[in-house]
Amino acid sequence: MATLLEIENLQTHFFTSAGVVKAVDGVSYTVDEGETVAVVGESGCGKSVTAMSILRLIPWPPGKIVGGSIKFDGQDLLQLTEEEMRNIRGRDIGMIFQEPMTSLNPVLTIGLQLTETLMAHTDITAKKANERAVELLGMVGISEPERRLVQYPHHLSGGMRQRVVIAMALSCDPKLIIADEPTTALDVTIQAQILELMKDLTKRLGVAMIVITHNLGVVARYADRVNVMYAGRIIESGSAQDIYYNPKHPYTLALLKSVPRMDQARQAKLDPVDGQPPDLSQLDAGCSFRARCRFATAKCAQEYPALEKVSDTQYAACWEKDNLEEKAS
Amino acid sequence: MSTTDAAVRDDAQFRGTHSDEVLVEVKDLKMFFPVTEGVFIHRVVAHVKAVNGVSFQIKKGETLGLVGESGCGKTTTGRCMIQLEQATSGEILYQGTDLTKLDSQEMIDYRKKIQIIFQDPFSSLNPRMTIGDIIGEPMKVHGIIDDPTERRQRVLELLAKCGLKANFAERYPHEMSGGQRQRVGIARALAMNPEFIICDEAVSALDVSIQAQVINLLEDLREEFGLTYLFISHDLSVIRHICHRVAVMYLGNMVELADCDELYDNPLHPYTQALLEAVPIPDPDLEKARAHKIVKGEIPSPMNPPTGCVFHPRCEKAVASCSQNVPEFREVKPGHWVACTEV
Ligand SMILES: Nc1ncnc2c1ncn2[C@@H]1O[C@H](COP(=O)(O)OP(=O)(O)O)[C@@H](O)[C@H]1O
Ligand SMILES: Nc1ncnc2c1ncn2[C@@H]1O[C@H](COP(=O)(O)OP(=O)(O)O)[C@@H](O)[C@H]1O
Ligand code: SF4
Ligand SMILES: [Mg+2]
Ligand SMILES: [Mg+2]
Repeated sequence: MATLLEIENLQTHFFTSAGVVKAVDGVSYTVDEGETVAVVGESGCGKSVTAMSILRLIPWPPGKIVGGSIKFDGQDLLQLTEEEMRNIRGRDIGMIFQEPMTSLNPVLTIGLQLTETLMAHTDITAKKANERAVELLGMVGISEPERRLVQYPHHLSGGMRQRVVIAMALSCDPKLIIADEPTTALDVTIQAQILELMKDLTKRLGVAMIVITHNLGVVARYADRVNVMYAGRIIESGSAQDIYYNPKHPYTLALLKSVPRMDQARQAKLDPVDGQPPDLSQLDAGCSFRARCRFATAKCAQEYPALEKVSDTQYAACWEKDNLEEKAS
Repeated sequence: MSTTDAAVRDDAQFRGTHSDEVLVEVKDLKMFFPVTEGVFIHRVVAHVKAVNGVSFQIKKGETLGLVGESGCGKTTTGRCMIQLEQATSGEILYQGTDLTKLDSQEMIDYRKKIQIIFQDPFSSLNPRMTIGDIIGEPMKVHGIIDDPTERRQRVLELLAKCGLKANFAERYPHEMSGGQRQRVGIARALAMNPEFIICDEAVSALDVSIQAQVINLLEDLREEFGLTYLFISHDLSVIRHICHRVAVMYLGNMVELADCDELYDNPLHPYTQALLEAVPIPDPDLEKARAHKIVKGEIPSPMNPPTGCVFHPRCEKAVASCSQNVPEFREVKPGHWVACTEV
């Protein structure tokens, strides 16, 4: 498949009174047409800032994209004017956030919000836009779509609102959807409904998707490829199988040992890493995981390890990536 | 020593710590919140049936899990158990004493024995108090340790037990991470020398690596002090790991109760089955092989719950009588209870 999105060495920093927060510091990854790529990591590691950078929605001050490039469908998004960018957002790139009300206007009807998006981005008559809105609501599993058009967001449950947001994100036939924690606020049975819906629709329509989540189960169920983030960088990337069955970074290893499994009887205590992630305004030249790492050597304090190939599909940023098994036993 | 030896030992320790003595018994607990209308005269127009006839026992030294989706009545059940909420009806028997019958003077003793830890440690910690005072004050107020030097010593001991350095005593809540604040919440609860702790979504807001640290801490404390836990959570994976027995709630009702492994390996209630199917497992090959049967619909309002079995509108196995008859919560095998006529 052709590459749709190519992020290279993205750096997004926040210039605060407490110092420069290097929220994203050298992130590179690609998304192929039609594939689902996950970005996983614990809170504050830079997942959302990466997504907002792609959309060029970083608020200045205090935030700024200070380096890198984001090639989407042949053009560098960082070189576009604000006007050109507005046309891409919501049309070529759809967005779904954790809180549906981020995308919905509380004082406008569902129908108006859908038709407005359609009419802003495509040459379509009001009548046709209305028909399309009904079709979209039906597609995302909302019953009696005609009646829903005249309702306001507060008439709907959280799960139903997220369905409306999905309909909006898909309305202009985007090539890419960015979904930032799309089901984190929902109950587990509703989460399953929404994720299954997103998977069906993106596969059926051939839309690529970036799913941002902290939930390792969601990643295992839905992602083709996975990027693991820690302290503003991608520390490992690979197929879902690579990441879960053959992790090559000590942090990935630690994450997997920290999640309790619902499908297995308890065998032992969990085995998490000690400590907590570093302050992103205080990073030094070494590996940002080393204070918590059981494999760290002297070299880890001196230089940050680059994200390097370990197999055809897998990359890891760790000086000890080839010695983990030996050292773990 | 191999890791399997350690695992077997941990497992034996985990399973062997509880007795048959019942510490707490909840009998037919109901909590209906009135919904009022009108500006001057509040007229009760309806009731939210937050908890609608729930019964269970907790044995000394065990961890009982209470699981279910938001709004099913978990928090309300916990709050009724420590009399933060005055139950509409039912009994809360703590070592045989019905707490619902006690006056506030008589409750004081139980307020020490029973502690609660919340999801958001920040909102439950006074921002203007140092961590040392947050942990020490209640000991002073409740007359647990009167001597300031001794109390100070105890604070440091509790901080250490909860994995916090001594210098945290001088810090303020806003200077700490979420995981550290939750450790403070636990230390504060321990300061009362409790017997029974209600953990209400106590690890739900934490990131996985921090969550695992706090889970291990709670388990260590249970073993060391012989504590009993009611562990409330919507997270089925965490519940399986930490609990001995598990109760599943739906719309104010208890639908299933069994030993932990029995519940997960052999769920009987259609709702429990649907819940377990919905949870994605961190194992891509296993996920590919799993059938993803997804339960339809959403949770109805507790103001106007469905008649008969509350789950019937969403249930695949429902028959005509399910919309009329409330299923009895019955023991279908030793220790395995379920509220469904079709089991
Ligand atoms: N407006 C802002 N000002 C200062 N720092 C910010 C701002 N927005 C985000 N950050 C910082 O950037 C880092 C990454 O945040 P984010 O991308 O939101 O993390 P997550 O992985 O949880 O989505 C965090 O440390 C956060 O504190
Ligand atoms: N003080 C209250 N007044 C009215 N309704 C309440 C009150 N507390 C809880 N409820 C309602 O009771 C139901 C159960 O709530 P809760 O016990 O918090 O559920 P859970 O903890 O399982 O998410 C919900 O519908 C909730 O809105
Ligand atoms: S580079 Fe060193 S400190 Fe960083 S993860 Fe690898 S071994 Fe650990
Ligand atoms: Mg985020
Ligand atoms: Mg609750």
